[in-house]
Amino acid sequence: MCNHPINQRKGQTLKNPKAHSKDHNLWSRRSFLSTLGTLGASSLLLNKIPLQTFAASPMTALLNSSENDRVLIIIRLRGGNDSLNMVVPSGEYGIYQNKRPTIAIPQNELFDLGEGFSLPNFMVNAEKSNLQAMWNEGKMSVVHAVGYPNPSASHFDGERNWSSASDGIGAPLNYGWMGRYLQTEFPNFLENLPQNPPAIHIGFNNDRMFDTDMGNISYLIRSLSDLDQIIESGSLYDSNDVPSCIYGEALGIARSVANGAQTYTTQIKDAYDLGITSGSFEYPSDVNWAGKYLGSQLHLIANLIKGGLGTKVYMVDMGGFDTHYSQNLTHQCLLSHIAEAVSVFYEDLTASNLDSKVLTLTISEFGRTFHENSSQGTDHGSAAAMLMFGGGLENAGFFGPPPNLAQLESNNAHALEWHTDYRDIYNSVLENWLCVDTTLLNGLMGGTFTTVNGLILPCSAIGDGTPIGAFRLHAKVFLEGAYEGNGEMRVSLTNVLPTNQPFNIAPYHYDGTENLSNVADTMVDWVLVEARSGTPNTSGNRATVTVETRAGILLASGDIVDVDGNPLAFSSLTAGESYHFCIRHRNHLDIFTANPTIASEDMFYDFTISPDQALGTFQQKVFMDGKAMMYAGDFTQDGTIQVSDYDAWSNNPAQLDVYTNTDGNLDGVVQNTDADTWYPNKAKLGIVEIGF
Amino acid sequence: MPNCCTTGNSAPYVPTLTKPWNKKRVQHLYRRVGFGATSQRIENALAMTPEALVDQIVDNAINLPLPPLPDWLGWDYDTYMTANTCHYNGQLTNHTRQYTSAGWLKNIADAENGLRHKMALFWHNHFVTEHTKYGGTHFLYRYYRTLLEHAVGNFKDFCRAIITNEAMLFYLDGQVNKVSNPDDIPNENFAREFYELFTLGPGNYTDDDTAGPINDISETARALSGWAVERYYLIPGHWVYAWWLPPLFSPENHDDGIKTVFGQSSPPNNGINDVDWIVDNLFEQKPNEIAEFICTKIYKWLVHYTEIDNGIIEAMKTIFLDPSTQFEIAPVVRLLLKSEHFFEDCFLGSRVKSPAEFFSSFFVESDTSLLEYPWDTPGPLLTQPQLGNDDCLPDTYCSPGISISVGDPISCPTVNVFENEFWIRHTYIDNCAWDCNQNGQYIFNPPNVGGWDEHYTWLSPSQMLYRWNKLEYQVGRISYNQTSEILAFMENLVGGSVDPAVIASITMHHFIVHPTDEQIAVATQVFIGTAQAVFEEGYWSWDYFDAHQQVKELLTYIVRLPEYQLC
Repeated sequence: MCNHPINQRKGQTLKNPKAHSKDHNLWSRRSFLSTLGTLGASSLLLNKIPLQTFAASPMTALLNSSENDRVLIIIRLRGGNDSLNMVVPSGEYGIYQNKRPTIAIPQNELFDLGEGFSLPNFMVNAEKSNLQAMWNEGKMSVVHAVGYPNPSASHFDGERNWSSASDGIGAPLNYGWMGRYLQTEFPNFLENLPQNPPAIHIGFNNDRMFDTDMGNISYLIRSLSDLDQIIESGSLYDSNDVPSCIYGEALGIARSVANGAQTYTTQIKDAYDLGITSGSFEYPSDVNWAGKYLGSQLHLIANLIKGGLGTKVYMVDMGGFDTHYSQNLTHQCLLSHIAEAVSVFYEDLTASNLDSKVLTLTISEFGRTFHENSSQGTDHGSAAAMLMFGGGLENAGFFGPPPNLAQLESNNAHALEWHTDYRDIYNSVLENWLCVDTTLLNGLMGGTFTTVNGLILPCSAIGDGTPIGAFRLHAKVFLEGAYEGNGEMRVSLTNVLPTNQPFNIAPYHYDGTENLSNVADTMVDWVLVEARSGTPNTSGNRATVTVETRAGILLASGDIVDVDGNPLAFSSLTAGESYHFCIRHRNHLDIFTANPTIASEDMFYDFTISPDQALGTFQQKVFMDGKAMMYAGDFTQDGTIQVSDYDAWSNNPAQLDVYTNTDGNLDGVVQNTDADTWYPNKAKLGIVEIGF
Repeated sequence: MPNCCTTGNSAPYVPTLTKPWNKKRVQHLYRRVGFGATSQRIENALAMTPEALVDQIVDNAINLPLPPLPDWLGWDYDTYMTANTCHYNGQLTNHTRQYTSAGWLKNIADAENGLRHKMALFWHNHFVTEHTKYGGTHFLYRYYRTLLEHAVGNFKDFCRAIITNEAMLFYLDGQVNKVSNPDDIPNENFAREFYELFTLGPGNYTDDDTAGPINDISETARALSGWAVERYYLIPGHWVYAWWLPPLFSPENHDDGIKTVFGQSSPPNNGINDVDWIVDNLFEQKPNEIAEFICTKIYKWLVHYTEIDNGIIEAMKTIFLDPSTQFEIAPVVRLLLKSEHFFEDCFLGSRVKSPAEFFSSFFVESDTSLLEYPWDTPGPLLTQPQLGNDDCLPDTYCSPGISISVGDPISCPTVNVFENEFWIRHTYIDNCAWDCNQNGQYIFNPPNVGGWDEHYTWLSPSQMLYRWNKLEYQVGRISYNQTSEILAFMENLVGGSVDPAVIASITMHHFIVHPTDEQIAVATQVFIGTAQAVFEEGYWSWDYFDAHQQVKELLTYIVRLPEYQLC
C-alpha cells in the first residue's frame, strides 16, 4: 500500500545505524546554554590552536538518580489527525458510512476492539508487526473524544494550546507544559548543566512544549543524519571532510570548535553504542522500514533508552495529517506506519525488559470533521481519540465517554464534541508517570485537572525503597597504562588474561565466581568494583563499609561490564539509598567515587570526565585530551605509588607474554616501558577509603 | 598550508568568465572593508566595475569629515564634574566608553563610509592602549579621535601623533619617563614597543641584549622623556590629571643631551623637537623595514592572516615608499583592494569573523536598522539627573588615576549639554558592542599591548556558544520587534519567491559564503516548519501570519552553522 515513503525528506533516514554519514551540515541547538562562564574548562590543542573544552558538570541530582527511570515519548501528529478513520465507530457504522461515503474504512476491513470500536485492518495487519498483539496484551489504550473548551481550528493556535496546556478561553499559558515540568527537575539548568539532555526532540524546529523562562530546554536534533554523524564520530560536524586550501582549514577548525561546544554528543554516542549491543531484538532491515521516518526515530530512541542515556522525555514529529483531499491515500500510510513503528519499538523494549518503563502518547492539535468534504478529505475539526502505548498502562482499554454519532447527527454537528480534557491526560502523566508531587501539579498545569483513574500505573506501584531485582552500574574508567587518547584504551592482553576473576588473592581476597567463557576482543583487563555504604572520610580511617563486591570486565571504551557483556549488576543495595563505589585495578591506584550514587535500576558514574570524579585531590591523572584516568604504577597494590613499586618491577624486569602486576602499560611484556609508567607518579598517595 | 591559492597579482582585478564580478565577490569586498552589505547595496555594486567601487570606497574613507567634537570634551572641570556627579551617578566615563564603542561599530556598519572607521579599528589593534590602565573619558576620546584622524592618512604623521597621545603616554609609561637629574634612568616601555610593535618589528633595532646599555631603545627613551599630562591640584592634598589640557613638554624632565639612534645623532639642545627628530630619523633610516612591517599587517587584516603573498606585499611596499605618496596608507589599501589577488576564490570565506564582525554584520546584511529601539526604554536615558537638583549627596567619583572625595554637597544646575550624544543606548548596535566585549573583543581594552591575535583565536567552544546564543536572541528580537521590516527584507532578497527551496537557497547564499546542497535542503525544511500543508496547498505568501516565525527559524539555523563563523 505504501511503497513510496511519505513525509520523507532528504537526509532524514537512518539507513544503517552504523553507516557513516557525510551529512555534517545539520544542527542541533542548545538554546538553554546562555550563560557559560560558570562551567569548568580544560584545554586541548587542535592544529596548535588552543581550544577550550567543557568538563561535564559533575552533577549528581539528575534524572539518572531521580526517583524513577520512567521515560515519556510524545508522538506529535502534525496537521490534525482524523481519528474517526483510526478508531472507527463500527458500532454506529451506518451513520459513519453515511457521513463518509468515499473515505469510510470498509466494514470488512476492520479489527474489532470491542465496545463498538475497531481499528482498520491496515493497523493490525502491518507487514513487520502490528498493534493487535499490543491491544491483546494490554499495552495499548484509547482515550475517546479528547479536546478542550473553545478549541481552535488553527494549526498554530492548536499546537500552541497543546504545547502550553492552554484552552481557548483565556490567554495561552506561558512556556510549555514539559518545559515547566523539567524546570522543576532542573531549576538551575543554566548554571548546572544536566549531565544528560533532559529532553530530546527530533524535529526541525524547537517546540514550545519545552519552552521555559530561560529558553528551550530540549536538545533539538534536526534530522536523523545529525544523529548518524554523532553516532559515527561522537561529534556533530565532520571536521575532516572539508574542502582543501585555507577556506577548508578555517571551516575544519570552526566545525571542531562547534563540536567541542556540543557537550551532549559524547553521551548520546556512548548510550547509543551501548544500546545497540544490548538486548536480543532484531530490527526489520528492509528498505521500506528504513523509509518510515517514525520507525527510524523510535529505533534510535530505543537504543538511547537501552544504553541508559537517562533522558526523561522524547518528542518526535510526524507531519502530513492535514488531509483535506484524497485522504485515504496518505492517511492510511501514516497510520500503518504508526502501528508498525510503535509495535516494533515495543517488541525491542520488551526483549530488554523495558517495555513497562516507556509510555508513549500521541497528540495532535485537533481532530477532523465528522463528514467528508467533496474532495475525499476531511477538514479541521475539534476532538479526537488519543492513543497511548506501553506496559505502564494500568487497565489498558478504552477511556472516556465515546463519541455518540447518532447524537452528533441529530445535532447537525460538524465535528466531534470533546468529553475528556487533554489536560486531564497531561495531569495523569505528570502525577502517575513522572511522579510529580501532587502539590506541584496545579502550578505546572496552570489549573486544576483530574488524573484519570486506571489510565497509568501510579507511582506507588513502583514504590520507594522496594527491592529492585538488579542495580546496574554503568561505570566508566580509563587506566593510564593503557589509555591512548580518543576515548580508547589499548587491548594487548587478550591472550594472557585469566578467565577466572583474578582478585581471589591478597590483598583482595574476593571469592566471586565470575569467569569468562571467552575473552571479548575489546577487553582490557579485569577490575574489582565495591559498593560502599556510609560517608567517606578524607583523612583518618576508612569509614565506608563494603556492601557488595563484583569483578568486572574493563572494555577499551572504559566501560565496566559484567562477564556476559551487560552492565555490572549489584543485588544487595537498597533502592533510594546512597552508595559510593570503589574501583580497583591490580597495578593502578584505586579510586573512589567523589559523589554518592542513589541506588536505582540504572546507575551512572563516569570517572573519565574529570579528575574530580574521584574522591580526594587529584586521585586521577588528566590525559592531554582532557580525559581523566587512574594513575599507573601501584604494582604492589598498597594504595601508594612509591619506591617499593619500582623494586617489584626491578626484581624481574624482563618478561614476555605474561599477566603480571609489574606490566605497568598492560602490553603483556615487562620491560623498561613499565618502569616508565611508574616514574612520573612515583610519590602518589591514595585516599583512606581505598584501604582494605 | 602555504601557497594553496592562485597567486594572482597586484594588477587591478578585471572580471572574467572564470572570475566573474558576482555577489560573492561584492560581499567579500564589503565584509573586509566593513561589516558586509545589504542586498540592495550588492545590486548597486554589481552595476559598477570593481575598480570604480573600490575607488568609491577608498575615496569616501579619505574624504569623510571627522565628526564634530562632543560638547563635554570642552567642559571645564566644574561643569564636567557636576554633570558626572549629578547626571551620570559618577559613570560618565563608562558611558562614554560604551557609546564610543557602539558608535564606532555603527559607523563601520555604514558600508559606503565604513572603511575609515574599520581601519581605525585596525589601528586600535596596532597602536594598542587599554582604557583600564589610562582611565578617563577625555583620554579615551582623544585616542579614538587620533585613530580616526589618521586611519587612512599618513603613517608617519600617525606615529608622531600617537607618541604624545595622552592615552598612550599613560599606557606605555611616557607619563613617568622623566629625566630630571643625570642619575635618572629613562623609562623604555614606549620606546621598545614603538619599534617592536608599532613600526619595525623585532630585530630591526638595537637594545640591551644586542648592544649593551647604550642602544636604540634607551636613546629613544631619553629623547622622548619629559612629556606628560599635567597634574592639577584641586584642593590641598587632592589632585587630578588635567584631562582638559593637552599633554605638556617639561624641559626640566627631559634629557637634553645628544642621542644616537640608528647610528644618527640628534641635534644638540634639541628640547621639545627631539620627538620630531625621533620620527624623522626613524622614517629616514628604516623606510623599508617600516614598509614591510606595515604592509604585511594591512595585508593580513584585509586578506588573510597566514596565507601571505610576498609578491603583493612588494607591490604594496613600492607604493608605500613612492616619493609622491610616501607613507600614505590609503594608496596601499586601494592597491590591495583593487588587486586581482584580493578577489581570488580561495580568500572567499577564509577569515574567522571577529566578534565585531560576527555580531554587527548580521544586522547589516539583514538590513536591520541599527538605531531601532527595540527595548522597553527607548531614547536618551541619561539626560535626567540621577539625583535631585538640589540635594546632590557627597559622592566619590573616579577621575583618571585617582579617586577624590567631594566634601560638601554641590548644587546641580541644569547643564544644557546633553544633546544627542548618547542616543545609541538600547539599540541593536549598543548590544553588539556589549557582546563584543563579552566575546573577547573588549573595545578600548585589548588583552595586552600586542592586541587581539585575531582569526582562529576568536574560536573556542565557550566563545562559540556565546555567539550562538546571543545572535539567536537578537534574531528573535528582530523577528518580533521589526516584523514588517525583516519580512520586507526577506521578500525583497528572494525576489518575492514563495518557493521554500528558492527562499532557503538565496538566503543561505546571502549569509554564508559556501553553503552546501545538503545544508540548503535542511534550511528549506527549517523554513517550511509547521507550514508544510500551507505550502503544499499553495496558499503560502509573505503575508502569511506566521512568516516572521519561519524567517526567525531559518535565520537561526543559518547563524548557528559553523560556516557562519567565516567571512
